[in-house]
Amino acid sequence: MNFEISSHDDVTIVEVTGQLIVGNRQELKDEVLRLLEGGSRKYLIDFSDTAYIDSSGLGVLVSLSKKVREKGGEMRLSNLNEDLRTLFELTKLDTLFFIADSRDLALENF
Amino acid sequence: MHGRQAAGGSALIVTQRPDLATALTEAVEGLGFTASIIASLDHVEAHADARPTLVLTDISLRPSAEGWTSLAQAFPRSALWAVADPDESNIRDVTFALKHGCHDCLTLPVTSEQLGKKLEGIGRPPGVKPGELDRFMSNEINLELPSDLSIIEHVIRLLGGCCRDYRSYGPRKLVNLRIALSEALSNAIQYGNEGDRSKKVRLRASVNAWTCRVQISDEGPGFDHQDLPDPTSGTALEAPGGRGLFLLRQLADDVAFNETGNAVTITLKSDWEPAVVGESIHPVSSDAEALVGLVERVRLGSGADLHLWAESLDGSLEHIAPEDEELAEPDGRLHWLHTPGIRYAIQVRPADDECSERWAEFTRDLLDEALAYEKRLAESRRDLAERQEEIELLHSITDTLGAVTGLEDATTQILKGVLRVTGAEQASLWIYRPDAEELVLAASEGPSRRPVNRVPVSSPVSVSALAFRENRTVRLDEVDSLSSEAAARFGDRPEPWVAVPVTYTSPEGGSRPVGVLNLGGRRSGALVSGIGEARLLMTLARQIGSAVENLRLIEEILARERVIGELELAHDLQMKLLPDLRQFEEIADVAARCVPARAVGGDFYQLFKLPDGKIGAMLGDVTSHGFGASLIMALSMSVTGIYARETASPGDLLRAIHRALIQKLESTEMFMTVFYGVIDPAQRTLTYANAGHAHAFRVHGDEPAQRLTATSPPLGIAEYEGYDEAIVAWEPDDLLCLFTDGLTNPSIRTTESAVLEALEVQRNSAATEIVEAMFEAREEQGGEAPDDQTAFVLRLERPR
Repeated sequence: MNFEISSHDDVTIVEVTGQLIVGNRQELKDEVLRLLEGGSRKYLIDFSDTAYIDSSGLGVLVSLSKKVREKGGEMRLSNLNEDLRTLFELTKLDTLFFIADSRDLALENF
Repeated sequence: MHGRQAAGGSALIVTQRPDLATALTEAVEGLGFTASIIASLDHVEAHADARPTLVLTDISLRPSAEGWTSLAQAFPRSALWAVADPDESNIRDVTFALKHGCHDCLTLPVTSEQLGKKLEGIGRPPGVKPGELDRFMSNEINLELPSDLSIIEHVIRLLGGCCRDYRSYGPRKLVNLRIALSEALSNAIQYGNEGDRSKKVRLRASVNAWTCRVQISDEGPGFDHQDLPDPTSGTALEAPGGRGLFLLRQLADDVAFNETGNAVTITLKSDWEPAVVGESIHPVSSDAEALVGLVERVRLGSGADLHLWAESLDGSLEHIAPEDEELAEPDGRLHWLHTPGIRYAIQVRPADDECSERWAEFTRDLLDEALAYEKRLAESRRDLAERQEEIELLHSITDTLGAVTGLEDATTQILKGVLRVTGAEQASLWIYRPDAEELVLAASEGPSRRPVNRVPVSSPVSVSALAFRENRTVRLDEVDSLSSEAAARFGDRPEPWVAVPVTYTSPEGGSRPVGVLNLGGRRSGALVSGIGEARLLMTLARQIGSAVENLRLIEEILARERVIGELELAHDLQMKLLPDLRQFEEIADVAARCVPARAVGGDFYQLFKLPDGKIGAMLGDVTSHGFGASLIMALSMSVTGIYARETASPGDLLRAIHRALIQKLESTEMFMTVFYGVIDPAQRTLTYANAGHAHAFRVHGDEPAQRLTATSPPLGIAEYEGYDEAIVAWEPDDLLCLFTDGLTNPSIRTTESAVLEALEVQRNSAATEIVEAMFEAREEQGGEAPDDQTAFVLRLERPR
């Protein structure tokens, strides 16, 4: 997994490439926590190049989103492929995240 | 010893039954003892000054674990025996008593003669220290049981527990005992007494640290045990009983029948040699050392505030782990771990918290098994040390290398040899540590030169570093061969000093430096006087290199074996937590398989027989895998075990798990998906609560599998109030099929459909075949399975 960080106005966009799984989830977590420490409050995690997230990857997303919320911020997800979308729906995690079909839709009213 | 004090001793009798008090008083007075009677274990410490030889406690008082603890503390030198009435006592109470500090159990009627024999029998085995005495006593168990197969499990627990407490019975012996008992008892019940509950099965067992001897007799006519055909041949395979006997003979050290053939005596020996018992075989201190280490590791791995106390001879408790914390007497409930010499108390703080209690209990069992494993490890280490000697012989430069066991010993021995061979006055061996890029002093002999024990490889002034870097012999008296910094330092006062790189040549032929050998102050002139001497030094260094490298490899292998062993242990322990599905054979066609990605995992399933013929089925998947997940898994299993029978509502059960685990889940950032469904055959319904578990299905008739969708987000994420329930119609031949995402990785669509297709194709097969087919389908999809894989299939009836 790699991730690229860019920003759009006050939104930090984290683009995840490859799988987000037990072996690499910590890197993503550390990076976002560092940014959170640095004052960023709005995050968009973009999964257009992510094929697969395992349960611990989901765990990291949940805990990050909680931490961001505690600081008064928000974390959104975008570009989940059909598989991932299904995963979020089946586990009812879609009720906990703002999930957008595209990056632009996610950035609207953010 | 108790037996020698027979005249003039005293006995304390604890009972509320006047008839029992009279009978026991008569029996102890027959021995010349004085008897005093108290009615309960409350304030038993008030009698501590009496120092009775014997404390006889009526089992029908059902003393609590604390009761036994307080007895053991008040009377550390007394024999603590329970007295049971075979007509009224519950075998579980006896098991409990023996487990919690009671030394032995007497069954009524109790006579003076019997008591005397028993007291004489408590001789101290050779090598055992005073104070260890009572824990080495033998257990005499005498029971009369109804002819009911359900007693088997209790008897196995009771005797297995006794044997386990001695720690001298290894895991294999315990398994053998289990199977042997189960065979012998079921023979007695099913064939001897023909299942007639009014007929009794008698069990007389005598267990000590060396042997476990059990006699089981029934009221049947017996049989001709001499004339049994080979059970593996022809018709005998199906003949009842024959096979059990065959197994018995394979498993037990001795099997003997009485004349008529209705009583069998099985003897199992422990792993201890009768001649060498005592400190040398099983030193108490190494137990403690191992336990402290294990506790530290469990603390580290689980984050639990775990504490360990050792009980000293006077009954007081000494806090031994964690080592860096001081903690006085524990408060609240303790969990006892028994070893032959000493008892240890375990507690998880905060005390008196339900969750802590379960962690403590789980840890106690883990430590118990781990200790047995440590013993095995010590044995294998000894084996390896023996092989080590062979390797050493091949490479030895002097005889002194013969008996080394570790790198430190070996290097000291090597240097002594080097000094003798070369005539040098001082020698030091430096070993290269790649992680720190340093040379570390492994050993030195002769007057020490400098108080330095590590040198960076890059050091410009160190001669050792220079020799290592350039992989050549460096002499201090050859100023030209030194680096400028070293020359500036040593040049004006050349010493008889030489640094030789120690190299290791691998079997494949490659050579690399692994350290440096320094020699100095030769008594007779310059150290390296000629070409012959230089060659000797190089040869020495090479031999040392091999020895050092081999030792390091062996230490590495030992460390690895230890890790693998621990993981195997944890794996076995975890698999034991899962329910034995055979006990559901009569009410359902059910099968499951759980394959953790690593040795331990976070997947689990549970199955419950509930009131009114209902069946509860659960499948859970803790995020992540490995130790953390397995601890959460173990906790969830124990919580559901407690609450499943108390509530008919699946949502309530999930709330109970939520209540018990939410803090642990939140602090470790884990969550778990759980499906719990209750099938009501009378109403033909399935009521379920599904916390974020994606793969739960109902397969009805020829219809495609119907997903039982999540009713809430996963546990650990969902709100306490958020666990909703759903209800669907349920026919007896409907299949409930649950599996975890290890079976659907990497793609929820393609892999899951393949698994579902296999399920649908096999829908009319037996549950075990369906599970098999699902795993096959997953395998055909290829791709790694980085997560735990579990599948669970259940239906009430096979379709006709």
